[in-house]
This record gives sequence, structure tokens and C-alpha cells, in this order.
Amino acid sequence: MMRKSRSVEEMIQELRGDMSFYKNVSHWHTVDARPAQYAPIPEQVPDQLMKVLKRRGIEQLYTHQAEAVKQTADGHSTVIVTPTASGKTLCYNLPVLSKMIEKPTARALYLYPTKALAQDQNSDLMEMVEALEGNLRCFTYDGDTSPAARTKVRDAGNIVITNPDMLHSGILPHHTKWIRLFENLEYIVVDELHTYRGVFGSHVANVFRRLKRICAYYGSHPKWIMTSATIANPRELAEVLTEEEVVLIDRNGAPQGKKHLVFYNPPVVNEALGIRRSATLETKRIASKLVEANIQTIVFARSRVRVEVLLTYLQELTRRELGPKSIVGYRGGYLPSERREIERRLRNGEIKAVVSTNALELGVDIGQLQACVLNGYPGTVASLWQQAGRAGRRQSESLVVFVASSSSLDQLVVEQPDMILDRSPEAARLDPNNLIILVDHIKCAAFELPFHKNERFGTVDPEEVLEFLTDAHVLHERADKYYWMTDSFPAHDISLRTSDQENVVIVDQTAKHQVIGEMDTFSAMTLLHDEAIYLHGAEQYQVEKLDFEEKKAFVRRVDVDYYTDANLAVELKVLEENKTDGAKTFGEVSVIAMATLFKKIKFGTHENIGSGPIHLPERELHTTATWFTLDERFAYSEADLEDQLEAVSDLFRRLAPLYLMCDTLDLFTTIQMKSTHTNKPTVYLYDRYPGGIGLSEALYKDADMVLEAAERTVLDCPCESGCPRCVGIVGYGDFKHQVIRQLQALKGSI
Amino acid sequence: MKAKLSRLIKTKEPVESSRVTSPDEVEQQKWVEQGGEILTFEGEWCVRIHKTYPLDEVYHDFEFGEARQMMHRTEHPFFTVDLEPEHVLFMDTETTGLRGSGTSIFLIGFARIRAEQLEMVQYVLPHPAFETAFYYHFLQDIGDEVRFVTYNGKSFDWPQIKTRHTFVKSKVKQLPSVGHVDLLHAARRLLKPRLESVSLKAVEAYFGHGRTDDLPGFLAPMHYFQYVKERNPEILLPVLEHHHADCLSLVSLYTRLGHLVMTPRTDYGEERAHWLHDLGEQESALKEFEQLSSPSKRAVMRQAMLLKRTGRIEQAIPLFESLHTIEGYVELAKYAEHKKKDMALAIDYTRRAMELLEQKRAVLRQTIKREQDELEHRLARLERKQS
Repeated sequence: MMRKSRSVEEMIQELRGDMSFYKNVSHWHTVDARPAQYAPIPEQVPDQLMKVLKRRGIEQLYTHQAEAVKQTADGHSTVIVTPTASGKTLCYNLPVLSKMIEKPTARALYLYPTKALAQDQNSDLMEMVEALEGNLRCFTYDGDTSPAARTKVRDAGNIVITNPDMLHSGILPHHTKWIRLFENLEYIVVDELHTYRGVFGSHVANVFRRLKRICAYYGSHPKWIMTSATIANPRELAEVLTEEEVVLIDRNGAPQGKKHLVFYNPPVVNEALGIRRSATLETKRIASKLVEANIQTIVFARSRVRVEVLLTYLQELTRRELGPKSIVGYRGGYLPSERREIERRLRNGEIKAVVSTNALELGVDIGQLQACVLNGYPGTVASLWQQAGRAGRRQSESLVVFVASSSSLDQLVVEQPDMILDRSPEAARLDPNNLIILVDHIKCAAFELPFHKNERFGTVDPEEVLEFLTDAHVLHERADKYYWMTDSFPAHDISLRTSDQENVVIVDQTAKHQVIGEMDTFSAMTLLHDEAIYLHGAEQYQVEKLDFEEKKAFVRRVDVDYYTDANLAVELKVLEENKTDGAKTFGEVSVIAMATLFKKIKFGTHENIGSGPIHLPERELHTTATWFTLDERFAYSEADLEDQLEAVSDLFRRLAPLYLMCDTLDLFTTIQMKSTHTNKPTVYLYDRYPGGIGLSEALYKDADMVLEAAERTVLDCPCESGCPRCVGIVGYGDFKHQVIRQLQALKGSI
Repeated sequence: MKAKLSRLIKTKEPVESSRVTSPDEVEQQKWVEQGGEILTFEGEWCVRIHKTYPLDEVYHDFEFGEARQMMHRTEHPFFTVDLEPEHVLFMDTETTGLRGSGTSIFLIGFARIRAEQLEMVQYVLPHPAFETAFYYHFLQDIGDEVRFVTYNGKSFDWPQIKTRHTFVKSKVKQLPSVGHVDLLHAARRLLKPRLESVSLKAVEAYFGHGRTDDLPGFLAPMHYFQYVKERNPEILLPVLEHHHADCLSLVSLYTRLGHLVMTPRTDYGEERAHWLHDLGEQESALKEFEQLSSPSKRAVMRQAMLLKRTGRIEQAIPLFESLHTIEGYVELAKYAEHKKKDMALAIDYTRRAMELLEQKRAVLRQTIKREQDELEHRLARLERKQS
């Protein structure tokens, strides 16, 4: 029986009074409502545009919007920090449209991190352009643009909206068809700048070097307007990506309703082992309460599997409902059309609750929801704020509940929320000079225009790379110029997104063969192996055959009460030491990974009910790593030492991503009791991308911070000898002390 | 010591020779030996190779000169050329890749019919750095207005020339105004049902002129890269031969396909008729359809529709009846309903169409929703009208 609807404010009151809920709340943080700060529309905005704004009811701007207009008009490249729903599109649409009214030949390029986002943003801009009644035209250019429309976009598009992948493989290599754009390019707009980090960011930084090179060839020197979510280093990120001087605009003038941030720690069910109730079950309970009160809610889960598990639970609430479901899942791997439909139904309120991975963290327009439940810490402070930002309408209060899992990082967050609340968010890192990525893009650039011997590629001197490519018969040098000398199309072989070129396509053969989704090959090793249970839209499928060669997984619908979880066996070899201080070393390694076996885990109880082998080829990765050697003297026995190694590795694995702003999937750990390289017990942390993307190197630099946090986690845990949430395993005797000693030793020798 | 000495002695040898020649000069000399002519422009150079053939020489069954007559025949608009023969270039290129601004053309050539002879010209780009000279001379030679006869040139060779031209446009002439007779389209029209591939080679072979010892097209870039590295024109000879053969072949193929289309014969009649139909030449198409001895159902349907559209519905009726197809019965039902006002007859035709659809459904094992809906809708309307 559905209970009656309530407002968010009523719900908040109710939760405060509900002791079964409130006793588990470690901290109830409120962010006060903030009034809007306005500024007059700057004089640089032409009358024509001013009229359009007034007709739309905009008489004044938020302070950050006005500043963006002024700084851009003064000829600066800018990065604007814009939380969700702060009117960011005006920050770039106003300067761009102003310029085009003043100079009708001017062109602008808008870049959104994904195709989906590019399509979303278009409608708002279109309305403004239409209202201007001029000859301005803006077009989206992506893989879906028809060949007939493409010519029009190239020749007539004042504003071309696209994504970095399309710029990389569809525009730059065909620059001679885009002369009008490149000759007249005044502005490059980059939205969601914070997503350009890690491997993707490193690629995009190089795509930007190519873009600037082509612009220079055609005589234009565009300015950049960028927007970013809150991160520690927006200006640094913008400058590394564009290699330009950038003005930071970070005083936001948009209003915000009162926000309640509730830190919820599930109750302990086994004192001795320090085991708490499942965070997933608690998330389900809280989310159900909100949904039953008719409060539009978003639930964030960390993994695709978690999303599907939670979705299965929550859809129980609406079992008897007819027609399209009002509780849905959302994650990468759903087909684009499926996702567009979900976004639309979220905006118009047809969907009451959505369970999502961080896929909805991005600027996908789904409107503002009323409540948000986080199943576990999303990994970074920036992500946490972004996910929390999904809840919060301007006029009403909003509720965000963080439900901690038993992981050490989650426990750290729930017990010391100040760590999150006081701490500035992480910095986004990337390495544009990763050799593999750099060589890839120098190839693309050489295809686009021959390199001159003294030419630079961004801030890099490419000569050695050019000579290497000449020796490999990719380029040919004559008269101080390097010419492209192969019959291939380099951009086609280089993907900006992952090291793996192809995705595995998931084919459902229950009725007739139908593609229901896709997944990157690395994830497929552990999620789509033979006999795996693949969850999609709360339906269960069993993988009948993973054809790894052909990149296809054939699945069939089943109805079982378990899901599967796979293990990855890793063999690591050190190739070269780059820097060391005794206890820790940074260098290059070769990693061979192989999926070995999987476990069947029962729904509800989460107990292990069986296992099986996985037969898949191994994959080799050359990358960078930082490794730490432990001191054998602090262990009474071999078994102790092994446990200590596990504990330290576990702490690193959970805590390092917090300081490096990366996904836990970007940085892997592995341990060796007697390292083939150091002969000592060693913990390795390595970048998951060929050649490394600067994560393990940053870890080498910031190791003391991570070690300190690890020490605090263990020290502050109320358990006696160590428990899963601090040292990762159930300890005994003075085990906690042993781990702390190892950590201190590592720090002491730094 | 010995090695050092011998090295010293060896290096002395060229100094003793009469004169020091630059690598460019050495290479140019080799081209001249191969019959090439060196053309220079602003410090760059390229190679032009020129050959002529008598107009009465027979190549692939046709005299070269026959192409000239074909250009002015008007029976089929596709083959008609609106300029004098000397502006018609049977053109082909060889490129370093398939797409993108970084793909360059290293060989352009064409055959053209002059007053007394067929002229065959090839332009070779000796190094990517010399594109200005290459395009300067090519454009200078072809004039301001040309018509290309090519094989896929409309969507490949010409756009690629445009792409590369942008890199040198400040120094060379504007591109000429052009028109295209792309024989790939003609070959597709006429031969598609008969051939698995309509590549130039496959089409030549189909007409009894299979090539032997010809360089496979995809190897051409490799030969070029090797040539650029070694500066030895001999490496490029197989490519030049292949390309030369392609251009000459275009001349004969143009004549051959033109004849196929314009000479009333029994074979290719159906393809010819469909082509004229798609070009909007209603009367000519109709004439072709009428002459077919064993037309396909598609041809009969089209013929009947043309008759209907041009006000000769009475002539179309027996054709529709002969078809026994869903579309045919639908047309008959329309005729019965609107012209004869005979609802019972219209209902009968509609039912026959539905029977056929049912058979189709049983064979395909899937529902054909849209067609089904249309027929049901029609039937309902007719039954309403009847009562």
C-alpha cells in the first residue's frame, strides 16, 4: 500500500524524529540557503542580444556570468567554476553570441565530453539564436550527422557543436574541408572541463595541440571559454589542457536552497567482527521511504552490478504498476536511445526514482531532483559534491543521504565527515606527455600537416619522436620537413577513451539475436566471462559464450538468486627504476593480468554459494608504478607478514584514489611476498593505462599524505585488533599495532 | 687500419669523377631516361610523361576515335558532353591513402582526344614537398573548363584533388569548372545484377579483357613510398603502367557502355529502361519497357505505373492484372474504387492482395505490420462505401 505524499521538508522533519534512522546518523550537516548575487548585464552585450535576454525575463546576470562576459570581451581565455544549475550556458553563449553580432563571419567550436551532452545543450542555444532573428546558424556535428548535412555544417555553421572524439577523427584529419571554420575561429568552448583528466584528458590535451596547430596554419588564434565543476585546480587543469594563460572565475552568484547532508552509518550487527548491516540494504530502505513519499530521488551506486542489484530491490515497490516503469536504472552500457528516453522522463517527472552509476554525475540534463542517496563514497570529494548537487531545487530544501559501506574509506568519511566537508576537492591530473599518447597524436598531427624540423608540438619539442617515426618508415624527411608516408589514416586507430579499441557487444539470444549493450574489453574479462550473470535493466542474463576474438558476448535471460564476482590474477615485473628513496620506488613495470575464477554470490545474504574457472587469454600492460617495501622485522611470522602486506595494500587501494582524484579502476594494486625485484615483501600500485598517466608518479610524490591518512584510519578505528573496515581483515593480538608500525616505517624513511 | 684505408680510398672516387651532381639532378636524369619531361616551378619540380596513339587504334574492341562520336550523341543524357572533345579528360589518379587531408595524390593522368591522335599524359609528384609544381603544371595544362570521364572520380579523385589544392592554392591557378561522366554509375546501372564486383578490373574482365601482370591497386602507395626513399623511377614503373592502362581503358569503356545504352538490343534492355525511368525520361523509358521480351515483375510494375501516370490507365490495367502482386492488386482496387466505382470488385482485389500478404507472412515468419494495416484500412473503407 502506497503511503501518502509528503514534501521534502516534511520528510526531513520525519527522519529527524525517527530514532531507528537518527541513531545511525553520525553527522547531520546543513548548508544554508544562499541568496543570488546579481550584476547588471555588461555593456559589451549588444542591444539586440540584450533585448532577447529581456524577453526571456533576464534583466540582470549572476555575478559569475557577468564576469565571464567581461573577461572574455577583454580578450582573456577563461575557466568558470559552475556547480549544477547555476546557469553556466549563459557564461559562454553570451560572449560567443555578442561576438557574432559584432562580427558575423566569426565562428565558434563547442566541445562537450560526450555526444549525448552535445545534443542536450543544443536546444537552449538554438532558442537564443532563433530569437536573435539573424543569420546565425549552429549545428551539431557528430557520428550521427548525415553526409548531406555535413557539407552545410562545414560551410555555414557559425557555431559547431561536437565532442573531442569527433574533433580528433572527423574534423582535424579533414581540416581542408573546414577552412571557413578554422580561418574564422574566435572561440573554443569547453564544457565539463573536469572530465578531461587521466587517460582521456591526456589524449584531449594533445587533440587541443593539434587543433591549435591547424588554427595557426589557417591564421586564427581562438580564445577559450571553459566551464568546470568544483575541483581543486580548475585553472591549472585548463592551462595544462590548452597551454594558454587562463583567467579563473570561481565566485558563483547563483542561489541555492537549503541542503541537508546526512552521514549514515549502518548499525553494527556483529560487535566482535565489527560487521555492519549491508549498505546496499540500508540504501534500499532509505530510498524506498523517499519513493513512497513521492519524492523524486536519485540513488548513486559505485558499480554497474550494484546499480542493477539496487534496481531489482527498488522495482519491487512498483511491481503492480502498469506501463513504463517509474523506477529505472541508468549507466554506461545501456543503449543511447534508452538513456535519452530516461533523461526525458526524468525531466518531465514521469520517473520517480533513478538508480545510477557516476554516469549521471556529468552534465546530462535531467533537471533537479529532490533527494539523493549515495550508496557508498563515490571515491572523490569532487564526485561526492557533484552527485549531491543532483538534488537541490532553488526554492525548496533538499536531502542528501550518504550511506557508508564497511570499506575503510567509507568508514573514514562517515566518522570524520569534516575530512570531506573542510577539505578542498581533489586536483584533476593528466599527463599530456605520456610517451605513448604523445606519439599517437604526433602521428595524427603529421598526417594533418607535415612537421617542420624546428616546429614545436604544443610545448613539446617533437624532433626525437619525428626521427623515431622516420626510422619506422611512418614519416619521410626531406629538406627539414617530415612527410606522412604510409597509406593509413592514423586517427582511426587511436581512441581517446581507453587503451582498448573495441568494446564487447552484448547479444541477447533469448528470443532473437538482439544487441542489448556494450562494455570495454577490460571490464568484460571480469563481468562477461562464460557463465557470468550479467545484469541489465534489472533483468538477469547468463553469459553463454564470450567470444573474445570477435568481441561478442552471447547471453540468455535467466532467473537465478545470485550474481557473480570475478578475480583477476596479476603478475608484475619491474622493468626499470626511475626514482627511489629506499622504502618506496617509482619506475616502469610490465603487468600480465588474467581473469582466473569467479564466485557466485547470493542475493540478500551476499553469501558465497559456488565458483568456477574463467578461461580467457592474458593481457599484458607496460605502465608506471610506485612500490613500497615492508620491513620483515616487524612481523613474528611469515603469515603475519602476509597479513600486514594485505592490510597495507588494502589501505593504499582504498585511500590513494582519494588523494589522486581517480577512479579505483585507474590505479591497481598487487602484492608480492618476496618480490622478484626487491626480494622483500612489496606492495605495487600501477596505472591501468599503457605508459602510465601520472597517477603512480603523483602517489610517489604525495605518499606521506596517503600514509598519514592510512595511519589515522587504523588508529581511529574503535576495534581492538583490527577489522575489515580499518585493516581490511579480521586481526588478532597486536595486529593493528604491527600495521601502524609498518606505515610509520614507510613514512619515517621518506 | 686496412678498413680505414679502404674507406678513405672509396670516398675519394666520386671526387675524382668529372662533376658533382645533386640527388635531384641524378633523379631527374633517370626520369628523362624513362621518357619523362622535367617541369619546374619556384624551385620545385615534377615529371610529365607524354605519349600518343593513332585514333584508329583498337583498344579493348573499340577504336579510340569512336569515343569522340559518342560525346555528341543525345539519346542518353548521361553520356552527352557539352564541350569539345579536347576538353574531355579520361582521368584517373593514384593516391597515398583513401581519405583525409593527409592523403596526397602522387600521380594524375588523363587520355584526351586531339584532332589527329589520342594523347596520354601523366604527371608524377617526385616528392610530397613538390605539390606546388605538380598542381601548377597539371592545372595550367588542362584549362579553365573541363569534363571528366572517370571511374568513381566524382566522389573520390576530384574531391581529393580539391583537398590537396587547398594547400597550394595561393600559388597556383584556381580549379577549373568541371562536369563528370562517372562510368562507375553506368557500370552499376548496367552490370550490377550480373557481377559480384563492379570494379574497373572486374568490368574489363567481364567484357573479355582480363588483365595479366597488373599491379594490384592497393600496392601502389607502397611502391611510391619506396620510390620516394630510393629516388629510383624504376620502382614506380609498374604503377605508371597500371595507371596508364586505367586511363586508356576509360576511353573504350565510355564507348562500350554508351553503345550498350543507345543501341537497341535485347540484352541490357531492362537495365536501360530502369535507368531512363530513374532519370525521369518517361517516354523513352516507356518505349524501352514495351520492347522487353521477358520483363521482370518490377519492370512490368514500373511500365504500368508510367502508363497510369501519363493518363493511359486503360493500357495499364492488363499489366497490373498480369502481375499477381500485392502492389498490382492494390492498384487494381484503386482503379475499381475510383474509376469504375465498383466496390464489390475493389473488395475482391483487396482480398486477393491480403491473401498474398498472408502467404508472404507465412514464408517470412514475421508480421508485416504496415502493409497489413493499410490493406485492412482499405478493406474497411470499401466495405463502408459498399453498404
